[in-house]
Amino acid sequence: MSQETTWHKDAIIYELHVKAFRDGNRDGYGDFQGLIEKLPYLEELGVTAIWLVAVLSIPAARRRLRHRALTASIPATGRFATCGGSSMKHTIAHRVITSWS
Amino acid sequence: MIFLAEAFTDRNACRGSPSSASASPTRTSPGETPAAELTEYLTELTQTELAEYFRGNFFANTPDILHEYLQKGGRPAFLVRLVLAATLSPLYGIYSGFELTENVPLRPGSEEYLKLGEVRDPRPRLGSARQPERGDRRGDRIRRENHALQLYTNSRSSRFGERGRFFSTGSRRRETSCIDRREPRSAGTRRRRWCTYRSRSSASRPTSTFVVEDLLTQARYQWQGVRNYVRLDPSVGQVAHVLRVVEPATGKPA
Repeated sequence: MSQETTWHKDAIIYELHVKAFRDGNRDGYGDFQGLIEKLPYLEELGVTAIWLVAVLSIPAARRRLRHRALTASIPATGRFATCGGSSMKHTIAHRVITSWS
Repeated sequence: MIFLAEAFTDRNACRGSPSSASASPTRTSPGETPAAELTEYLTELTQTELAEYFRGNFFANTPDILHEYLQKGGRPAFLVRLVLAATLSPLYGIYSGFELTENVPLRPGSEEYLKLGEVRDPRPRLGSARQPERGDRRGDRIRRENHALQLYTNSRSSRFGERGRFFSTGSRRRETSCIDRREPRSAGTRRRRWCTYRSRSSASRPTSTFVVEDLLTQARYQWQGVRNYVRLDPSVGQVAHVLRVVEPATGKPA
């Protein structure tokens, strides 16, 4: 199997709240710019995947369905919706995991 | 790729949802449960049909629960958890702040983080007083260099003292790790115990003498038979051993 499908089997994951991790534009909230600034720090720790907590949300009604919601359509919301998961992937060769609850 | 957070997902749902190895659950932490419970869970994860479609992802900490063990155990407790997570599962993780030993609760008796949700600027620069433990990377190097630690279903445990467990992983090369995990405050307490280790190689026959090397410190110890003396001393930073059996004649891994 290729690394594309097996990377998770030996990943070292660093889970973080973007809003609480690093304030890049000095507005008092963590943001993706701050996270990108700290990618070398994460590299130094040896992590191979970054787990972004609660970047996405799902409607409450679907949330109650729990695991069924995993297959639901997921609208990106909030201040992070347009921020750069893709640009981060280009910055370092790490996997980016997003989550919702 | 879908990861299921077991802490927030019904366990039966976790068991039922994954239909292939592409789905992985997360587990709050191997250090969170007493040693016997950890052993039971590890056995369930890796020695039953669950291993066919359910891959445990050991998190040393989570954003939602600041366990008493980390609050009271201090740095030794963090290191014990890290070694357990990194050696018992090829897939493991930490939540931001673990590397900085963040363990201050919101209030006494609470399992909430004081700083959860706050921007922690400025993050400490490498080289500062709050530099992450270099041992963090040391564990990663050991994982890369030792095939047994990259496998998932090869962990076993045996007794280490009265309540502790001794975990081992095996392949053609064998590595073993010793952990003493009891009460929250005990992570910082010096321990001397006898552990039982049965190797599939000829090394641990009752009368044979062999050498084990601690991959964390490069210290070597001479062992004989299946029961051997192990000392853990957090006062000198020794909270765990990651031991590899060395072939007596060649000095190479057995």
